[in-house]
Amino acid sequence: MKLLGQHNWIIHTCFVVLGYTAAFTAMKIGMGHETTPFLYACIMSASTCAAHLVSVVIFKIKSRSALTIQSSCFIAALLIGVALFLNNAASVLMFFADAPISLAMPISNTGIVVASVIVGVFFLRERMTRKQIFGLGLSVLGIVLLNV
Amino acid sequence: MFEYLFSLHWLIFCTMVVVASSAYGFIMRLVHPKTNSFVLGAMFAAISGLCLGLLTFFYGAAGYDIEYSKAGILLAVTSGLGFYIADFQTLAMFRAGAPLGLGISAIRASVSCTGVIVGFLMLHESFDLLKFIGIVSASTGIFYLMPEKEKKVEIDYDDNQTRQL
Repeated sequence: MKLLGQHNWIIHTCFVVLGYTAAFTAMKIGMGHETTPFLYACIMSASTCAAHLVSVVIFKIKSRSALTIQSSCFIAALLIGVALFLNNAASVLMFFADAPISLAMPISNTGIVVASVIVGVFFLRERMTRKQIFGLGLSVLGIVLLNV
Repeated sequence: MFEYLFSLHWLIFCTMVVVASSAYGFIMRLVHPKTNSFVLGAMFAAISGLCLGLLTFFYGAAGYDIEYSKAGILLAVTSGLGFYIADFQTLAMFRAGAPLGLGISAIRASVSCTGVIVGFLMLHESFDLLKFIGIVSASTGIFYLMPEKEKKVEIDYDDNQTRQL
């Protein structure tokens, strides 16, 4: 518990995992219900947007203070929005291109982990201990085995 | 346009997924701490939804069938709500000081594990020895990825000596 107190990002990570698990499970079931994947991704983004908007309204009512939006927020939103669009569109197109899932999933998941570590170490100057590098190796191996 | 896109090799799209997903994590990590996560989330989900809406429109205009069902729409909304939780918690995670490399690795490994477990328990998917080894390997990896307890340092100002407790 002391460790959680020092690094409370672990708690948020658990919620992220919960959110993604729910989303991917619904997506997996949803693919069997004859809905065009592009439309499915579009409805998905629209409902995410609606949920965020509801939260903004609740936040505004509760805080009763003016909502300030920095210019950097617009730039970040634009970049993240485009990245999300490309991610969703490419995932759907990969599905249309008859990608072997047992090969595509390990490659994409491992690629994302490796790219994030490289970006973190080289651009954000993040440091990793030997123990964490070993953990990273085991995680990548686990991801490959789970997705094959 | 779609004929050309469908003729491309899946590895190109796989690379796009890797680049776009890494960019998503990287930009989320760089977001200003004072930015309201719900406003930001609403904005980027709207941009992404708008682009996907246009793509769906052009897909329909190109003569392809656009199919939908009530269950499909309901499940898409459920997926969207899952992504809503994941999005604002990702921002909260980075604000709480999560390193990009460790945070993303922990998420990907954990989601792979929970995906297999949920698939086995709810969707009656297969569960073999390889998957079991994968879960053990990923779980051990996540354990090792967790940050170590910070060591307390006591400084003795009289003789300038530093001692680890």
